[in-house]
Amino acid sequence: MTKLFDRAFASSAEDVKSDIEISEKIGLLQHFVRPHHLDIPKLLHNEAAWLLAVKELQKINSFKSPREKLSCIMSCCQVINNLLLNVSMSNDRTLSGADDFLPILIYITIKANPPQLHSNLKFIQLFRRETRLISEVEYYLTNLISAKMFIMNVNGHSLSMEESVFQTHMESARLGNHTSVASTSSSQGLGTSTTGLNEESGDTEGLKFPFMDSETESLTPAEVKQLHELYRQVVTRYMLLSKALRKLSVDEDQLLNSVDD
Amino acid sequence: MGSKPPPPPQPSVSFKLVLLGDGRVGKTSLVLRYVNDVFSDKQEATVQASYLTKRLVVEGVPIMLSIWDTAGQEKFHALGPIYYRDADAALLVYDITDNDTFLRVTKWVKELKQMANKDIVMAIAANKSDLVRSKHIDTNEAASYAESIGATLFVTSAKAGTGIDDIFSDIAKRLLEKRKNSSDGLSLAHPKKGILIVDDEPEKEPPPKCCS
Repeated sequence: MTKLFDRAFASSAEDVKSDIEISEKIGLLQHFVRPHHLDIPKLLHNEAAWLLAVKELQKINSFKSPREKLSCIMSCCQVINNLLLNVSMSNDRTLSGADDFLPILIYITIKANPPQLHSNLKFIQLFRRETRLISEVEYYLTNLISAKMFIMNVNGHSLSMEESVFQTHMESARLGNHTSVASTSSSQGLGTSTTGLNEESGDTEGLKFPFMDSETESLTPAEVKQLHELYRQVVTRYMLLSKALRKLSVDEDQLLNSVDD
Repeated sequence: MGSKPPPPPQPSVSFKLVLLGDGRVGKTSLVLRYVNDVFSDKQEATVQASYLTKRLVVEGVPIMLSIWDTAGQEKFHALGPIYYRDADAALLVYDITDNDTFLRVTKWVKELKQMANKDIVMAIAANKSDLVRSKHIDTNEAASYAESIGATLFVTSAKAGTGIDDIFSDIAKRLLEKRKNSSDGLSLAHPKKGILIVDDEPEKEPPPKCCS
């Protein structure tokens, strides 16, 4: 199989396209999807274990045979199962089943953004000898297939948020991606701080620019309070932004001109 | 790769069973209770609860059940077919104290009828019966519903351990019956998806003989 690998793996243009599509989508989701969006109980939040699972899944392209690729998936699932087992033993709680396993696997898949997810899954399904694809291994492969399906069809409802909030998140993630391409050196720090802000505002606010269409007279005291809160946020962001601009030695007028162009 | 390997000595007939039920109806506890039963002949420490196996003997035939748990939350509902597509049996679990979870069960049944195996064996568990000990449990409606879809209803409690062995042996019995009646016979596992490479029609000319 390893000799045929180059011809059998991700050989069609369609597969390549699907791989890029999924990877780009996960890239956007990474910006704002948090464990609670997938109903992962607080008790099971364990960054160290998750990171380990992520690393296992990312190894999938280091191997060429379906068997070895499968064993990466299995190791990743094993890490999750160990986490579930530890939590159940130390908290004297019933061992979690798929209700907790699948959400964690989906979250791990988003965090890992495994290379060529679509082609890898297709390759395994096509070329793993069917008699070997039974039982436990098949179960965990099926879970990863369903994680991929979930990600492909993801929407507001499946992440426990309003569709409009979801769309806003996706849009700002897209914008975030573009700026990070433009300035790779400083994007790391800026990127994380903006996602933090997004999370805060996104959960309380549905729209990108609330109150833009409201009449001043019709505002309730509660809304005024909200507006004040937002005003503070805007000012903070503006300060951060102008600081960042100064660092990049870009003049504000220069920026305005470039926008007009 | 595709050529049929010599059939391995099958110690038992194996079946795939999927567990369907709304989040937190106790489907995981139910199965753990069943698999870890103190009276089981082979006690293994359970290290995971999503995929479990159980060996049992029905009418002298050793059977292995692979039990596939599924995530029951509404947001994962659309993923169901990936799991139950080629299942031999489905165990549908609802919380006896929560009618919404029963409605979820009816939704799955409709889907199973459309998308699952034609011969799929279904059973419904009315779980958490220990919570309604004081009140009279009215399962008449659920029982007649179960009958109408060719399933059996069992009142279970994962906590008290009641009704669990019954439901699984009922499933196993019906699975075995179906397998006996089907043309496959007992020895063959049902065909799995994948590539099956079949040799071309034999060439017209006889294979070249050597050393003759």
